Amino acid sequence: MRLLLSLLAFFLCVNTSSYAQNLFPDEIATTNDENESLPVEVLLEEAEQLFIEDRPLDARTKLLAVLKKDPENYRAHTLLSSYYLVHVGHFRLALKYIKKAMAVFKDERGPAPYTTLEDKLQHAHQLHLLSQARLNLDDYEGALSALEQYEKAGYYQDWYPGSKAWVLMKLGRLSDAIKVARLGLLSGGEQGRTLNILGILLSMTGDREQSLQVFKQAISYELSMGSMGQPATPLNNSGEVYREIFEEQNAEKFWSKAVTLPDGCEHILPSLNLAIVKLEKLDLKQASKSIDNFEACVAQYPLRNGEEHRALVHFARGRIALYAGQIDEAIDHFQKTLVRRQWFGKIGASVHDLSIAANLSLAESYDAKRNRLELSKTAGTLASVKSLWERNELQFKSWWLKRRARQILIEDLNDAEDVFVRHTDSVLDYSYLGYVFEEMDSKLVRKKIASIASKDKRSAAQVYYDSYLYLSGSSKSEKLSSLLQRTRPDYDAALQLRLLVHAAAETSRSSNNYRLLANKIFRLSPPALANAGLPLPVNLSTGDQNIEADLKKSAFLVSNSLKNEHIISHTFVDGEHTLKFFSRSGGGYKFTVRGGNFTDVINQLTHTVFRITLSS
Amino acid sequence: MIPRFASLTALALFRSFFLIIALLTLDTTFNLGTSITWLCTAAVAGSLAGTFFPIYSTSFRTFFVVLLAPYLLAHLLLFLDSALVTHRTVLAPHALLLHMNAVYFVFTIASVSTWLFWRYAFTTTAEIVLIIVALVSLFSNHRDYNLVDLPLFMSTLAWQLGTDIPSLLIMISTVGILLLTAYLLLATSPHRPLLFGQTRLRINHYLAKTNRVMSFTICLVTALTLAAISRHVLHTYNIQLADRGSNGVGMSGKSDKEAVGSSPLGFHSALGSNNQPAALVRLEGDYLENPFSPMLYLREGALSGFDGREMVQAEDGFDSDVPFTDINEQYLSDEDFELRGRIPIEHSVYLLADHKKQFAIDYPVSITPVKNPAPDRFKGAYKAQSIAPAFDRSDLNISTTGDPRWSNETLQHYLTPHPDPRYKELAEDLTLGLLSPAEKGAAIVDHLNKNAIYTLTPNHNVDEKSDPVAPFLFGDLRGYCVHFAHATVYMLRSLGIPARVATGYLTDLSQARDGHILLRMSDRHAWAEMYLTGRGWIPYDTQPEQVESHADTQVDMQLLEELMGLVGPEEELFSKELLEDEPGLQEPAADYFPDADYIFYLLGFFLFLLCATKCYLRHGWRLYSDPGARLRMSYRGLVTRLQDLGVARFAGETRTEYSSRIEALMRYPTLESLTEWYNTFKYHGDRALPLSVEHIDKAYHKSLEQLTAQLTLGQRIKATLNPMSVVSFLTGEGI
Repeated sequence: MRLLLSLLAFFLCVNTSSYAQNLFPDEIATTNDENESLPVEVLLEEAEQLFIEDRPLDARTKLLAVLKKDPENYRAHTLLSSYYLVHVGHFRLALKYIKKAMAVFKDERGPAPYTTLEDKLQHAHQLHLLSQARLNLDDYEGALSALEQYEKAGYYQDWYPGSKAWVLMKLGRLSDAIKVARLGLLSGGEQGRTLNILGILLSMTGDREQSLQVFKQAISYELSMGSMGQPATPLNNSGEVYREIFEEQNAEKFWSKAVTLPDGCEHILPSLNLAIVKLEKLDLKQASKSIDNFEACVAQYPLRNGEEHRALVHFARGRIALYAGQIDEAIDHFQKTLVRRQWFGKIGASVHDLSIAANLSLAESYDAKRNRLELSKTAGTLASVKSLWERNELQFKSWWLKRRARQILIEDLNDAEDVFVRHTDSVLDYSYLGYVFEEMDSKLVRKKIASIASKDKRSAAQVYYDSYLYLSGSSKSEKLSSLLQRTRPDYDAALQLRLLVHAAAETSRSSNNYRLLANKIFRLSPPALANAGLPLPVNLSTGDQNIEADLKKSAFLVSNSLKNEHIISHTFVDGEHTLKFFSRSGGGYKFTVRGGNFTDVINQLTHTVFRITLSS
Repeated sequence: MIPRFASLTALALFRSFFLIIALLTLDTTFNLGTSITWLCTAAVAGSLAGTFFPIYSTSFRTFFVVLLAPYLLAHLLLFLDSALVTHRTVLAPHALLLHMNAVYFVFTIASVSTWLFWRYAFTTTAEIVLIIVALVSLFSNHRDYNLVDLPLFMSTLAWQLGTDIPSLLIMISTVGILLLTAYLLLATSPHRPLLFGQTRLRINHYLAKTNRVMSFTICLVTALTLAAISRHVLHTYNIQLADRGSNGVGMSGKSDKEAVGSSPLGFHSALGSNNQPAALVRLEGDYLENPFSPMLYLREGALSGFDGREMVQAEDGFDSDVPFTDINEQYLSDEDFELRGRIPIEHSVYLLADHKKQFAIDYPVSITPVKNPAPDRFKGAYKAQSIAPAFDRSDLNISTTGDPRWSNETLQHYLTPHPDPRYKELAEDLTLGLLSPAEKGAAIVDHLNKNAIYTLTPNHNVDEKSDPVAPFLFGDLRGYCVHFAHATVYMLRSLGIPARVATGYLTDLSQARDGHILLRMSDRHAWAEMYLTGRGWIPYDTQPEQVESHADTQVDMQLLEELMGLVGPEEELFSKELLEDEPGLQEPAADYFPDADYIFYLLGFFLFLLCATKCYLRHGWRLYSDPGARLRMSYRGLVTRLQDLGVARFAGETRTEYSSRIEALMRYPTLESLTEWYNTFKYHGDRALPLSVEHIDKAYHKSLEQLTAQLTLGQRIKATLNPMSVVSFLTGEGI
């Protein structure tokens, strides 16, 4: 019966298209005046034809013309719902239209079950749209209810098991979801979609090896579908599993492949994941390029404005800007991330995942800005007072955001489940998480970390847990050198940076150890030093004795020593100060700034040295 | 003399009302994370505690201890909980601590400020200044129409009330001032109750009078300042709309005759650029062939005349493709454009700001005013049909310019060059070896794109008569669209290519949703156009690579969606009943209640502590075998019972006087013997009073019998439940 229905649906669709093509072989009238003179049935057929011709705005105008003539036309409502769901991504409007369509349909044809094939197809399609609209609006219970009605009415199409398993997963019913997906694969469910969700479910239950096998099948299936296939999704998911098991080089391969495929920019996740893994390697330029490519790709779609991805794009850009020392840009991006609404129905992450990640990142940006202000020279009392006020304000904001993030982490994310390193779909910056626990009772932190670490069998993850204890000051037994030894040189670069910054902050600035740490940090990421409020030890070459005193409260620590890797030379000619920053070895960084006011010049040098320019 | 309960409660509640408003605003803006119900309850409880506690104790030390005690106790409870209880989630105690801190913080602020309020009348002024500063700093985010800034509810509220943001801010400020004035009147009234004795009352009345004058002056000054600011704000925006304002591209407010020979463009600065919504444009069909995609030009005016200093609007007979019609007029082009590579595009325009002239995608062939779907929101609406560019940009490489039907006079009009020879020299330099006008135009634009800097503040020193473009093009190359457009036109004309400056809007279609585009004042733009034979007027616009300042490019999507709902058929199609019970259509409401378990434990612990303390006070004497200690505790036991009955010892009253008062009240010398013994014991030591334990017990039981014999069951229950004796004990009050 189900097969018969599917076949008939296929034929109906083909017949409708060919009918429309025969009926309107030439151009279809698209202006409102012309639409007014056409009967409803013709307008509906024309709208369907326009959708096929990829002219959705013209089709929308036709459908609105239908509703003007016949406000209770359920076909127009259904098509509009589909239009807003698929072409525009305006899920609220899609839901409104489908609700109206269903209400009108019920008034006209009575309640289900229906006897004619046409009614059955229409009703099944409406339930499908209803479940999709609800799912996209994060109403998982509602989506499941629509799917259950669909099943109860005896309808079946190959998308069904995948969709139901996904909704069950969003509701946290993992074992039910696995059953539905497995059953779906046996009963003719769409291979790509169902395998994909099964892979995700297996990964969530910790069976990552089998999950990778399933994704492999999904990728093969999607590739075999040619231009109809959507291999980017299972490729992205495979990458996520590889990242979870700390095989980032494989993850990178998969994501890089995913973003080059035609369907790779239908969603931001492959690009976002790629950017995050590049950030963990401190490869900022590649991270930035990944997001640039995504945005360039989205711009190809004329009706979408990328609003549904905007929050995540801002988030990624903010993190890149923060690492690059572009603090104001980072703050701007994170603020926009918090303001923009991101729908999570179609992706595994939840609104809380993004919320804590953005709150923490914004707090980190405020801290970085405050630290940088502390390293900036101020001219005059008023400027000093202003700077002091601003620093206190930033400190308060940062404290509040971290407090809020901790609340969400505990209350909305199941007792901080995201602390489990690289928890599925989390967008947290794991290298930063240790600082989040700073203000918590160390006994609680130890207890929590111990409970998570004991369940985590991944050896590469343990260094992260130990680092949290070290960074939060919850454990005195952890030693920097042993932690650094356990990190991997490439993919744990961000964690190494955090550990070094923390150690440098705890070390006396006059000590040799501080010099070593600061130079290491500078080599890894120059902005990180200024972001943490740590000055860079330098040798000063100048004929003016006052300059050394002027440099004291700046981002440079003058401590003339043969062990310093960097030198600042100062000259004052014709009322103009010139500061040159260069490496002792001659290579590496070389910057020169000039100006009449020494305070401005030194601030400009700080700005230049502790910032990475991303544009090539 | 204790003031009347009702007046005290009224003032306390009025104070807590402000706190509740502040909390609601903060919660909506920042999401405080703790249940707003709890926070508001803490605010009310704090205000009441700060009001009624001074009745029982005038010492701030005592008050402070009372404030601190529950906090410390709660911490103790949490400590015990995290140390002993293992069945809950690991980090839950920390979450509870955060909630508790928030609630306690609000309670403390409310109670301390209220306590100060009753004690020092001048704090009223300080409070009012604080509220005003908080309001101004909170709402100042919305200056310049930054609708996406916090607090977010502002744009929605403005929208629901059918007003714009500046007007809403003025309304809120006015309501705020009214409320503050009412508060001030109540707080500084001579009839206001004060709780700290007659002497202080007199001083406070004096202060209150002075304070009232001060506070009224502050309110008056604030109101006047606000009026001046609002006047300035509205005036500025009106000027910007009507004249040379936003992005340096204003709208001509003059009549058609006056407009000829003048320009709505300014060269000084474009700092007026802001996010004020200007119009909603709705494309009625796909425009996939747009050669400028994703940018879309909507032309409002054209400046083809040259007055020796700048480009100005030409007289009738020129620029006939531009409607120059008022917003409520119908326009029908009678011209046969004879243009290739164009397609019909229908679009609707809904004006959100005042406009004098219609604008549309070029070339408009008809513009028809339509019914305004929301007159409280839109200033006007019209539908336009245009023949829009649909050519490939590579097809522009044609050798001829101008319309063959133009007269020589018309051609000369569009070719009128700038007298400064440097424009020609530079243009020739840039276009050396290039043949087609399109290539030449592209070379000029390319030069400006690469070398010039876009800035809203070029700061050129230009007087009324000298050329405002020369300091830009031959100077620092810093300017905004007006400078770029003029420079391009002058250079094109110097090469013999008909050119003009067009004004209107430039928008980014990638910000559109469902074919709806929200135009903002910052989208106002001026650009150069050249006339290519058979193609018409083509924009040759610059997009400088170096940008020093620019407006926020992101559109307020929430506003756009709301406006889309207005111009669409939604309201007519979807009844409320149809859409209710759809969680996806509701805004998520964050409300965080601590676990019911915790509340239960916390309350249970407090109750236990209360009972244990009371038990100790009443029966603790049994624990002491030393006669001195037993006497002291049994005396306390009786005094505790009397306190719970509402007969506490007054401040300054001796024990003997208290005993006499009790005797007069109870008609029995209830406390007499124990008071006498206690005084002797306290001041002369146990040697002066050789009492045995039995004596003390006997006297205690006798006194207790006398006391209880006169009490009804209800009074006894009430006394048992009354916590005042425990409070007195915990705050260290003596017996």
